[in-house]
Amino acid sequence: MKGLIIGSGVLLGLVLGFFPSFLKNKPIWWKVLAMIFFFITVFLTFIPYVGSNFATFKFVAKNIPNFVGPLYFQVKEIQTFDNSTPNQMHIYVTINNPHFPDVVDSLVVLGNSIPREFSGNSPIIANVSYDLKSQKFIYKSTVVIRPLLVLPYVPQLGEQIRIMNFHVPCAWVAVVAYLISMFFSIKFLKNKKFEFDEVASSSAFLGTIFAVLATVTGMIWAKFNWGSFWNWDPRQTSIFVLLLIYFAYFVLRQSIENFELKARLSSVYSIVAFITVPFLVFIMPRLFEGNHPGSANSPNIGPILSAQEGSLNPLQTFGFGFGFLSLTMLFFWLLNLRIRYTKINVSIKRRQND
Amino acid sequence: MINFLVENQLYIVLIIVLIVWIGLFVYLLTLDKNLSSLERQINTMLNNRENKK
Repeated sequence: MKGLIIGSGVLLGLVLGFFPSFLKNKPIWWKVLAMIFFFITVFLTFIPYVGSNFATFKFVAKNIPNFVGPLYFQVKEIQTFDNSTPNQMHIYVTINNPHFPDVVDSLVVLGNSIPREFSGNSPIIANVSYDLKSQKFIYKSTVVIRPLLVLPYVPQLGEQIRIMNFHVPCAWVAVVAYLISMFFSIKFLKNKKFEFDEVASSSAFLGTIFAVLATVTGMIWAKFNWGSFWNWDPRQTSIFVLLLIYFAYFVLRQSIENFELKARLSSVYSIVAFITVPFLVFIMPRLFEGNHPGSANSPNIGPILSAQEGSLNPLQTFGFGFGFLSLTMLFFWLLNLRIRYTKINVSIKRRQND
Repeated sequence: MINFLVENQLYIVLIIVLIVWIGLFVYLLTLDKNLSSLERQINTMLNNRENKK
């Protein structure tokens, strides 16, 4: 289900990028659609609240001592137990999670009275701690009753899970851009039409912009999650090498005056450069130990690819899919503008040379 | 500042989204500037041709 939603977002973005026109002006409905998708992504990124399910909560509580965090549940049945200690009446509440109806657990409420919001039989997000000895959830305070929308609580990420909607699609769009650059370089070498070289260079330029955006957003994320902006994590090292490779591409283009020689050499370079992209983006960071999700030593392969139930809830998955869709469309729009600009620029330069 | 951001993580998300927006819009602005300079070049070229005639 998760793969289907994200995959359809990715595919729809690519299909809409090439259809109805790739090199010519995009129709107005296409531009309106791209803007609408972008605003849906922004909306889905900023909606409240974050609440965890039982499995993640137990997982976090076992690793972080005295952890208090949000838990999303619904009160099913209340049982009171008379306790011998004064001022501490233990109330056991059978709770379940609306997203995962099969999971039923119990909650201990310390105090003399049951919180009023428990009687309503409506979903609640409450701050809860987990007692490892008795293996019980202990109620602290209610955060929100009947939340409209709920985002999943991912261990060690908290609210920062929302960054994923922008950070990951940026890196993905960079890969797509480099792929398009390679494809049109091959086409140029076959047909010797300068049009294709213009597409290849524009695509590589935009790919570099998106790779830089992914790096910068990742750096800020790393500052608050890992402690420093840059710590030579395998993922950071590999994107750095990738950026160096594509900076060299532009240096090569700038250094040659002759149009035909420039196009031919940079096409060959672009094909060779793309061979490194899958290794540097998808393979190398998974082989080494690091902090980035998906490293060799991380407990699962990251919240996106993980098959674990509830690592992303349906809403977050939708936001993520829309992130892919809207940023891919935005990329194709920018690429279209860039290609048209390069075409005019090159034709003017040629005429001036003649 | 950093303590405030650590406590209110939603603002980190805000910063990140703003960076993506600013990056894309700065690129759009430079493209806009380049296009207008091209338009000016084309106009001068057309004017020169008319003058030659």
